[in-house]
Amino acid sequence: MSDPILFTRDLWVRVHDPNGGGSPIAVVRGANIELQRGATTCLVGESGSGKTVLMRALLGISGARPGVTAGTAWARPDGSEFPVPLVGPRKRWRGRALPSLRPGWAGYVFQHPSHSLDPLLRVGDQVGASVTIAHSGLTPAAVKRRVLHWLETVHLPNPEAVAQLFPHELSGGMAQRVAIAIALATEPDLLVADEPTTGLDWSVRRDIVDLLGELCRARGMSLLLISHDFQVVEHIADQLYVMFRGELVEDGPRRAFFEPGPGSHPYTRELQARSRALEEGSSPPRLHLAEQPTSSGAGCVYAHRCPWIREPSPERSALGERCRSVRPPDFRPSSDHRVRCIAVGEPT
Amino acid sequence: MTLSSLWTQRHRQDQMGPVSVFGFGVLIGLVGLRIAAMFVDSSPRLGLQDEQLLPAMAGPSWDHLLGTDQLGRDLLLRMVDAVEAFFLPGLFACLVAALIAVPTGAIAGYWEGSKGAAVLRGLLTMISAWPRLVLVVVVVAIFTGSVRDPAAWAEVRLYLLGGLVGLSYIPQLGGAVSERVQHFRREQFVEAARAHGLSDRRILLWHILWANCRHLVLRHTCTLFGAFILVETSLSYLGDYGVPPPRPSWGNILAGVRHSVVHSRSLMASSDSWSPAGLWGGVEQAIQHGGLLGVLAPTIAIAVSIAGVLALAEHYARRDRP
Repeated sequence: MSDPILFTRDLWVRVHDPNGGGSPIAVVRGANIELQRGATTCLVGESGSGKTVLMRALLGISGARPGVTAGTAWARPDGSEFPVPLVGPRKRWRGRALPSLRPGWAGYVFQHPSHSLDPLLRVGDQVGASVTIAHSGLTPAAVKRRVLHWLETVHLPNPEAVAQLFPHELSGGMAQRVAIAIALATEPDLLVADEPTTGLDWSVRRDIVDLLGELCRARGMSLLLISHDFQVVEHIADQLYVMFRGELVEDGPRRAFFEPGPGSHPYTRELQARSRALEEGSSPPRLHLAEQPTSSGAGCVYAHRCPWIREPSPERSALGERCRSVRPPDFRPSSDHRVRCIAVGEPT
Repeated sequence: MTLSSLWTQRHRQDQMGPVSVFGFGVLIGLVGLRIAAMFVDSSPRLGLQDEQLLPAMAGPSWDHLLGTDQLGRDLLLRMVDAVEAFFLPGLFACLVAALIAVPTGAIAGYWEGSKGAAVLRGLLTMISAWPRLVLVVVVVAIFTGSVRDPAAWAEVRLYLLGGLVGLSYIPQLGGAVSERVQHFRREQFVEAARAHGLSDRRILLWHILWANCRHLVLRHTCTLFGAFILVETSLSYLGDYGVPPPRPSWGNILAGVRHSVVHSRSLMASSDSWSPAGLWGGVEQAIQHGGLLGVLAPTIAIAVSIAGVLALAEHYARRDRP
């Protein structure tokens, strides 16, 4: 049953300390991710948790240095029998992502649509460039036909007029649709959308996420959706990963997160409460940002913010010390659900 | 806002202002004059036997709209013919600068931090350390001294001049291109294009150079063309290194009639220059005598041409701002 299109094994990504410290800081710690073919996987976590760094490192988009320092990532594009190495710690591999994958194997939708479009090229030409990646040697008329097809696919009204526009003439929602069209035009097996709804208002957000889900279902494409908001991912996620400070603290199928069941990670609960509060219009629970994590090595990454430690219930009063000093083991409430928390694993 | 209103909005932004109109007007004028110059031959009147010698420094007449110069040659024909001296060599200067500076700057900017880029950057700095006019004069002097008949090599010398001015402009253009490329290399749309599998070559040529550096390069080549007009006419005015007589250049036309300027000034001074009628009489005499037009025509031509190409540069500079 497991047929991942992309998977990682204990992947570590480090970046140089912006404050000029000696050793690089680990921003992704031992990530194990499996993106199932044709499924929608969501990577959820607050800003700065390392979601984007992980995605960029995987897919060889410049950015973090020294980058991947340990672990491996593999891809199995449609039709390939063996996994293709994406990134690894060996020097030979570094900076050579996607060595034997066809160009345009993965499509990307970036956070800010206006930044991911070239401001001085017409929309049609930019979609056209992607079309020629998938199909070389097309006549200009054939390229134009496909461009209009893709603009129509993302539900842009009047595609012929839109193709003639420059990016600054588009609204945010339209620009994001164009960015999706550009990503789709390379006919990718995998679509990665990095916070595609940031900067859009609520009504448009829903449209964009629905559009992504619908496109992936219709084309049998795998989707990795990166978001900080549970409300956004709620109705399209098949599989979820929750990330906090570089660590994947919980992963599981959709029912593990949105249906009542055995325990979930306190951080997941916090994110869900926050999303709910935003939707209901009440003020979200206060963050205890003043609390600094003790040391990066031992203990649970969430210990400094965990409400179960800050305000322990009587039965959990003994946990605090262990959470801060012992690395929490993985607890599996069911075969496909994993939680990295001592408290969830030892129900009292 | 509807799509159609966005359209009109953009076209309003792209409308040409008076500066652009002036620039393109001058450009069209120069091209016209260059074409006309192909049908004009003004030099054989120098030692002619078959035609009647015209009076030297004659005033304007219907046969000779601008009068004649100090040797009795038609000034208008020489003015038109003189466009040949800078037009194609000027374009050659632009070509040399663009062909070397744009790839150099683009590579130095795009692969910033690599060894090759550092070498290219060093080369640009090295060229920029040469003083432009000294370089031009020295090389042209060596060239002129090493050919037997400099007049026969005049055409080659002009292109040499163009090439040198173009070379001396490379650091400026290359630096501007490399800075721009460096800036756009970090833009998200470049990352997006790369992530989608667009090749580096295509990103650099199309996304960065074509879409985002086109106006920058045009703007700098226009400035360079103006600089070349100035260099050519200055050298021709000074003699020796520019256009050798009898070939006309706006610079040597000006140099040729400069003696008569002194003459016409003395004529003006001799009349009763304090009354308006006397002043006008002096001016009339100067016009009749040819001197004034001989000075004014090349001066105005040089000034208007340079102002025109600089206006064109300004036009592209306005387009350049993203």
